[in-house]
Amino acid sequence: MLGKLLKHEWKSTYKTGCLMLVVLVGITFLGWLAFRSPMWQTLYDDNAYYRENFGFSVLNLVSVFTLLFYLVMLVAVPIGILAYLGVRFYKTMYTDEGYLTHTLPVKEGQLMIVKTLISSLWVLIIFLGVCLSVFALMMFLISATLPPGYTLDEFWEEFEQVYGMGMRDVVNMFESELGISFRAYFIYIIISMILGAFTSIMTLFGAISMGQLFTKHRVLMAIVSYILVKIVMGILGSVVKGFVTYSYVSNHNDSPTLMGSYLNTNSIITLVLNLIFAVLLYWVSYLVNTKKLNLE
Amino acid sequence: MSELVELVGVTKAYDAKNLAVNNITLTLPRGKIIGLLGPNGSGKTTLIKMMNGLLTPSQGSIRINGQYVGTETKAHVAYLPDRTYLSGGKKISQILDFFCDFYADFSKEKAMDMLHSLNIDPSARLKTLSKGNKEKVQLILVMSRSADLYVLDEPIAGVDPAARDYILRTIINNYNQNATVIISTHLIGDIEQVLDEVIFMRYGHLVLYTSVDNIREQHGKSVDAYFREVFAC
Repeated sequence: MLGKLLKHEWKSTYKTGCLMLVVLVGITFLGWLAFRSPMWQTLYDDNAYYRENFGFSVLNLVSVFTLLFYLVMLVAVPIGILAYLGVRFYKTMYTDEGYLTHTLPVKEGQLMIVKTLISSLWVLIIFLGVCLSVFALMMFLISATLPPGYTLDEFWEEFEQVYGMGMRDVVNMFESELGISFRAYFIYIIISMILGAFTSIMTLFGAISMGQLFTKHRVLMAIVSYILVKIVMGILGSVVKGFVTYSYVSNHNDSPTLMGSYLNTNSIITLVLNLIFAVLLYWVSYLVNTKKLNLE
Repeated sequence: MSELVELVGVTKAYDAKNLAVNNITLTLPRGKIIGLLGPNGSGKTTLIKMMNGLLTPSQGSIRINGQYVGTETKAHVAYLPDRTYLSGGKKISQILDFFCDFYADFSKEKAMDMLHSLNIDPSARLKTLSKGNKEKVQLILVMSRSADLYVLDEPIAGVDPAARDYILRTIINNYNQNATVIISTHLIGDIEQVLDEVIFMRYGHLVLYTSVDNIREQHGKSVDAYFREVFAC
């Protein structure tokens, strides 16, 4: 049954998820178009031709507004997918559609697992899409500010010659200065992205489920619960990290790897706290669905 | 085991002052069509929801086929709620596939036959159908299952008299003879001819559980007339 639930949940969500990805591709393309404006070429100092010909133009204005639109949409898309997944969870679990969902011959635990897995996956996909879009835009910016006929490869070669270091040297410097293995840091980023997607979904689902514990104004109480959960998570996170910072300041001397060690500990604490919150909120949703289900 | 449904001291309190269902103890047999009757707010829908696991009883227990309400009972109970519980954006054929995937006792052929007899296009999206046709599609989905217990909450409310006849015929012709059908409705006159037994509820209490024949023999009245007498305002 788990496989069937996964299949139907994916089929029900993929259209909206893909639409969000298309929007990301679209705004990234707009970003590329925005950097086609001659204004960006004037950023290259040694090219007097472009500097002399630079002035206010409609094209430049459009370029700036297009980039502003890009930024707004870059924030709107992740919020949009979260809102969509939250509304969908609420609709299929706690409104009329819940009458079908909760009379399916499947365990409530399976329903929760499927909703959580598919929704977290979509949050993760959209987040990766946002990262890729930002990376692409940075590349567009670099290429836009390069003189004509000057390629990105040439840019990196010149960068290495001027600063005396390539990407490998930058990585080495990062590792020696912070005392953190770059590979370990990369793995940490991947894990925290996955866990972040899981935590954001569980915060959403947990708050919606908490709203169901009230007899009236359930949507309003879900929103209030969401805000309260966010505040509690913020306060607890700050308190724990405050203790860690205090303990480092008190107990460590000027060790060359102090900053790296501190960042490592802080990162692990963030991961653990997120995991604890996510599991706790999953348990709340599970409990509401198994013991306290009261469809209106 | 002839008992299909066993309710023991079932109570549902929405708050301290509001008891929607009050201490109902009842055993229902197999092979019967039972009318769950009562005025508005008598607790019929609340009782039905608890039998389907959509509400958690405040007290008491419900067993179907000897098992407490849960995954196992849901596989053997076909439930028609008093509202549209299907996503409007889906095609009927997609909904049939969904039921095929989750209910082992669902017959797609039976459903397609019924859709065909009603001239409902399986490729149509649910939201494009009229209210009456939406209700018929939901009934077809429920009656295409070979369940042990059919729980139909207001199956004929909101449809025209011709559609009511079709719905009642569908119920009678399609239910498994070893199964029990519970029909909750206000429209007693329309369903009286198909009922074997009746349950009367008022203010969350069980008022009466008896056979239709018994009402006719003992009181010399139809169920509809007797209901009006019992629940006279």
